[in-house]
Amino acid sequence: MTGTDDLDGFFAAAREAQPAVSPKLMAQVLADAAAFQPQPRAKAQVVWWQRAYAAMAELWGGFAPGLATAAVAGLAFGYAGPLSSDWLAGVMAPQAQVQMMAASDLFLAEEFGQ
Amino acid sequence: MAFDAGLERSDEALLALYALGDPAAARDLAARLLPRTLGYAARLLNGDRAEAEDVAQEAMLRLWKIAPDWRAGEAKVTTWLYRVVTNLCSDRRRGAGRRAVPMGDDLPDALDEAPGSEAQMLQAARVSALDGALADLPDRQREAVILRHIEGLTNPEIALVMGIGVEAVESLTARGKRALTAALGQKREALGYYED
Repeated sequence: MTGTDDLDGFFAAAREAQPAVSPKLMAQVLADAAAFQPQPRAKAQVVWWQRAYAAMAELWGGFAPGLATAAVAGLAFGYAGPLSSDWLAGVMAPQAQVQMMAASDLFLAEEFGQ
Repeated sequence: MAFDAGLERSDEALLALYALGDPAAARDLAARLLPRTLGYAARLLNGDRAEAEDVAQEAMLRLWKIAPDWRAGEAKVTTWLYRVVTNLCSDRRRGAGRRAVPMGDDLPDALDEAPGSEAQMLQAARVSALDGALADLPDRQREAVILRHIEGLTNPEIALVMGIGVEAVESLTARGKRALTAALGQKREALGYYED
């Protein structure tokens, strides 16, 4: 016996001769699988807004999210009124100034502009 | 035809589908993994078919239970399953004591029922001789040799299954193969290996 070569023949024979699974064992294993398989989420567990969103999406397709957002924004504008829209502009004080260019930059612009 | 028809899903993907409630995933996983699980358990338990079936069913049951908590990317399903089977078989061997199985009594069913051509009978005799020689190995050597040379795992995978280092795996398989060579050498000619 030369060793490795002959052992490889034995191992190859063993690999080809895996035992057959009996139908009874397979049935038991699949019964276990069915017993412990998590169930897909039931409809009753989905909260109301998800159902409403799903219904809107079904009716309006891809426009549903944008439509809903626009509707809510329209209601908000209508309720708040155009004269009291500071909330929309933020909390900027009336005296606040936004400096678009630094003073030194303005000076340089004058110097080189002439 | 489904867009992914013909593409074979990985064990991990099937397990994820099972956890999401797909019943077909359980069938596919069982068809793929149960024969390997049973074959490995049978060899570790020296051919005790009833014990091996119990172990295979228990290992698969643990797989179903862990599926919802399976963390993808951390381990291969097969590696995890081999580890479970190894531990279950160790427990059974400790509990029941080691049983010697006479050579020739543990031919696989498929070969038992096949028409008896000479080549098939020779293959069956080799398998039987190997199983008999494997049964005489120390448990850890037997586990390492079976995982490496019959189940086809890599040494790092075997190290994970057995909870030891890669060097220890190499040592166990080398010693196991030397012992197998010595044991099977005596039956060499009877099993169809002739000197040139």
